[in-house]
Amino acid sequence: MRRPPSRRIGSKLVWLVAAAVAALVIGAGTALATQGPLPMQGSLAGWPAAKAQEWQRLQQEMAAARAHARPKPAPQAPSHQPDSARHAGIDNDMHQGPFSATAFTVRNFWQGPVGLDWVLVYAGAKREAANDTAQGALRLYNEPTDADGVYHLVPVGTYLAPNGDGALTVTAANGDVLQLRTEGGGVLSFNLQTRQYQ
Amino acid sequence: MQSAPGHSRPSSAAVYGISRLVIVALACMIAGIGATRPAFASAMPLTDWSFYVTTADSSTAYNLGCNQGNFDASFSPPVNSLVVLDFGGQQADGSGTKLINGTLVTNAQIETVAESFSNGYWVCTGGDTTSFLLLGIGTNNSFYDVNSAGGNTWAQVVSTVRTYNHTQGYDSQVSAGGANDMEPGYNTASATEAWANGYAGVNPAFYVDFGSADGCPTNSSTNGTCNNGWKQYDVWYVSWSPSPAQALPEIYNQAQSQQWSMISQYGANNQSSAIYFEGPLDENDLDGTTYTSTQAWNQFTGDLTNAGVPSNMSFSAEIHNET
Repeated sequence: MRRPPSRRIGSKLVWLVAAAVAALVIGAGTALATQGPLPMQGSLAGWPAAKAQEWQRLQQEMAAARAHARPKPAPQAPSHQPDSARHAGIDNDMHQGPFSATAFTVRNFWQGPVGLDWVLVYAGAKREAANDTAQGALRLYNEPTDADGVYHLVPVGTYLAPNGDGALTVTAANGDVLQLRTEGGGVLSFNLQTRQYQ
Repeated sequence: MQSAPGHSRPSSAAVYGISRLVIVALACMIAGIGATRPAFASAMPLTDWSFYVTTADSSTAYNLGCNQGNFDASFSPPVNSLVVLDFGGQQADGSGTKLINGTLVTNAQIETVAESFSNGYWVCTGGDTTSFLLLGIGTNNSFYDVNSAGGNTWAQVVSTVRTYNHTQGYDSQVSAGGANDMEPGYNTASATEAWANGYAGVNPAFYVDFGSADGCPTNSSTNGTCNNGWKQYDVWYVSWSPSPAQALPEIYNQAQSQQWSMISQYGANNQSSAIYFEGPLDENDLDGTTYTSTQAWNQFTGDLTNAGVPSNMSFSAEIHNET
């Protein structure tokens, strides 16, 4: 059935409008794809002005980089570099580890060979946030070296001191036995082979 | 005219209807209506892996960046990520850091690792050119150089990586910044604030505080005391006050979630602003007794909402050992 001319004109107008809008949308979409969204939060509404400006600056920098995006090569990892040599001994400046100080406070650190293993010992106190208590303890890790000479960190366990005398500090290493001092001034030792306090 | 199999040409009425929708959508885009922060909590994003760096091996870093790039590009549309590389505390002379396994590394080695991670991400996103990585080059406040000079030094490290990434074109998808595991138990508030200000003085890009609020109140926001002489103000300050500061707090348990929510509430009520968190950081892979990513997300969004402060977050992060 033929449509009245006015409907056909209207239909053409609809198509023209749709085409124009589509072009606008495609253009806007391309621009957004080029610029990308803001780097962090979906919106900066409510942010302090200075912080919002920081993110706008980062967005502009990323948009500028995308405007000159380079072709990507095929994935190819660089060659391995062996890690530097480790040195056995006590490190009294070490107060960090692969855990939060919230859970374990490090007083000092010892590393060295134990049998065929390279062992890391974090001495300090295990903390319980729920009741704000701490008990002297050692956290042990093995650190084997792979075929490329790269170290790998392997958790061994946490060993709580047999008394409630506070955080532990390593004072000496005699063979496979660590000499320890408690926060309260007590003395004890830990056998790294048997992993037991003595 | 034949239509392609499975597709049919829409009627003009349908086109008109669609065009109206498109016009409305376009108007909303121009007006920025779609960009406003929704009142409801955001859905949990995919969890990105951050790392305690244990080796200066650039190949290891490249492969980890490549993994993240492959992951982000595998979604349609591609997703974005926030990754922190924790290089441990800074050395006293500003020459580098001590990794958490006791290995000393130079700033040049740190830069190479971060650049290799960036390279791996950029290359392995392949045909996806729209996803992006926010890469936090991390230290902590446990060692030396926790002062203005240390912050300044770290900002220079970040700046060097950003410059290199720009020359290589990685910055089309990688924005490198700083990061600091700032914990009250590690150092004094004044020293840590000096570090934050020192970083902000150079301000190459954002820094992310991925630390804790040890000992801070869990149910009040009146500038209560935290461990080691810190107060809620101090935690708020280092994680949000300087213009490059962002927060990705440790949410390993309920107490930490409540502590950070109260600090944000303190900021809203007593300082210039609440904290708009990037997301929670969990450590469940390293300690199975702590929150999973989902638990951390749900607890934190719930506590933030209950505290009446912003709870929309863009990222979920979990820390792992690098090797």
